[in-house]
Amino acid sequence: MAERKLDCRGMQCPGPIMAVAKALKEAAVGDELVVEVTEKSFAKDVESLCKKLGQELVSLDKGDIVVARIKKVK
Amino acid sequence: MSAEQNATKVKETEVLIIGGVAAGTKACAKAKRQKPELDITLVTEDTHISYAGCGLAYYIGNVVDDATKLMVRTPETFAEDTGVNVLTRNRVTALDLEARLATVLDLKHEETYQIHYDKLVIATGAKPIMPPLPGIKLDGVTALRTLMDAMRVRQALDEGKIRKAVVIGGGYIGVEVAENLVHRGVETVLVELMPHVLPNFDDDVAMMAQREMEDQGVKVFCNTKAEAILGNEKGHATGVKTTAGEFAADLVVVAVGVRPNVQLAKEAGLELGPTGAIKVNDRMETSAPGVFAAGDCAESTHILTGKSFWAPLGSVANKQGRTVGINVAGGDDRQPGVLGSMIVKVFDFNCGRTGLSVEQAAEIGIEAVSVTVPTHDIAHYYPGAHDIIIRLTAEKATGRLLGAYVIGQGVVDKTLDTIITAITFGATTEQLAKLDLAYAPPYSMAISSPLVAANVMQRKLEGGIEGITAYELERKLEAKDDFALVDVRDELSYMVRSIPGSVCIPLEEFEERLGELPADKEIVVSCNIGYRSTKACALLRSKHIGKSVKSLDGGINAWPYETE
Repeated sequence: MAERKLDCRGMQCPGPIMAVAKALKEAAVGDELVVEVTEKSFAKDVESLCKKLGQELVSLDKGDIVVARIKKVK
Repeated sequence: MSAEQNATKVKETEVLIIGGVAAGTKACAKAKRQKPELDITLVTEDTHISYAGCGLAYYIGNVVDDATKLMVRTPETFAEDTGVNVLTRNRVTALDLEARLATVLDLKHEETYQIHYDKLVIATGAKPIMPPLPGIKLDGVTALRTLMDAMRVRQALDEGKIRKAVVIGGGYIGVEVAENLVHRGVETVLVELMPHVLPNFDDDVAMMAQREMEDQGVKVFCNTKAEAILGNEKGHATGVKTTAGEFAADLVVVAVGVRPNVQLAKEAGLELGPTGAIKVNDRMETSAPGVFAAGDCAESTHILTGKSFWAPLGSVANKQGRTVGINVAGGDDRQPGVLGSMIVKVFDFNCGRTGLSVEQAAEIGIEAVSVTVPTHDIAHYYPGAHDIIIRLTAEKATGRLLGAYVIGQGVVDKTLDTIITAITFGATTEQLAKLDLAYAPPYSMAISSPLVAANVMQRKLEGGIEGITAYELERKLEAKDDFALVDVRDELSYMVRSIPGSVCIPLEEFEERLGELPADKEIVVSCNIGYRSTKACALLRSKHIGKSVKSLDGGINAWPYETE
């Protein structure tokens, strides 16, 4: 079960969400992604993405830097 | 009655000022600086003077920790520093403008006396509107107008007595109070009669602020009327009955608006303007000779409409007070008027406005157009950069700037104030677009945001953009109009968040897939910010596809309504 960090700070919409979608595709089931984003709308988008793809959003910290931990479950 | 007839009970002063918050004290201080020998008396029924009334919400939220920080001056230090005779807890009950006599009730000693003046300044401010609801007089129901109001709420919060609150009214005071109650861990409900908070903002712009409030935990109920305040046997408020149901509350803040406090002026026979505030000229002189008015009790003139306008704001009050101070000291200072500018913080969102919207321009016979432009406050790659959205309005025929909304998580006041300056000096869109503004990445974009908005407006004025606002599109969707809504972003972005009823045709595939679009219907095209959609619209027009073709102003970034 690998953990991969994605630094998307400073990246503009839709950059971060595209990076997450790509990383999820490359990851193996059970892997976790930790994404750091400065673009605020990412928080809502990542919730929606995980819901629609059926992946698990383990945690979401909506501070100045949004940090999302996503687990590939399928 | 003359001074000779009743010498013991009539005091003499050259200038009598009624009211001691912003305009009254400013007029005092300025007049004394202009003419130190001037004999001035300031009368106020309040205990405090010269406090920052605009900061009260932040005091209850403990953003401002100590009430003394809001008190610019105490009555004692003010009197000492300026040499003005300050009479707190004294209420002027009647004015005889002919005889230049004020009847005053000393609230401390319950005595009535008179003051004979040469010049009079009325700065009686505004009063919160307390609607005649059942239960409005219960304990725990308050406006937030005076320092005393704020101190009572703050104390109850500090003592842990407030767990739930209802704020009635979603204007800027209501919005600020709701935010500060949430900061204190209070479960907060806000009810607003109109369809959205910040009623003097365009619907879609205000909806973005409302979304932010909801995201931060305020339960917002619009199109909702408060019907009664509920109480217990001890006479304390326990909740609010509304058309959207009942909400429990230990505190009810009434913030439905303010009215100019003009009773004294009206009874004295001073002319009021169409706004209900005291009519004044640009020297802040009222209809009676030697009588001035300033601050929330006085009118302003709107610079663009030329009509009476009421702007009860600390900024306006201080400037008017200053003009009065100069003029009572024998000078000649004038107020050019206001643009209806305002700015309010809504949690992590900043919302500012100035001038006229397209609809407001139409009301005075000006055909105006607007553009909605998502951009950034500083260079997008510099840490701390945030989105802002500008809606700029200009006269269609001439390009003259008329108004703007600037909102978002980023710095909005700089952009707004730049536009305000341009409007004040009668600038056109083109002149704004060419300003030599200061630039370095930590401060601005290479083409600063107001200039970006001006450039987009230029294109629109040249006929290069046919837009539709989020609000107009929402209305069309609501009315189930027969039209096609096409999203030209990539498939992934579309999957994550899209406008209900839209179909996705990415711009890259647009040309090959033109056949999927109706040739004879109205087509609305959307993207992230309105850039790609404008390109798609140009292509559709060149191929004569669609009865009409419009681009969603500001794209999905400026879309505050439902998404899926």
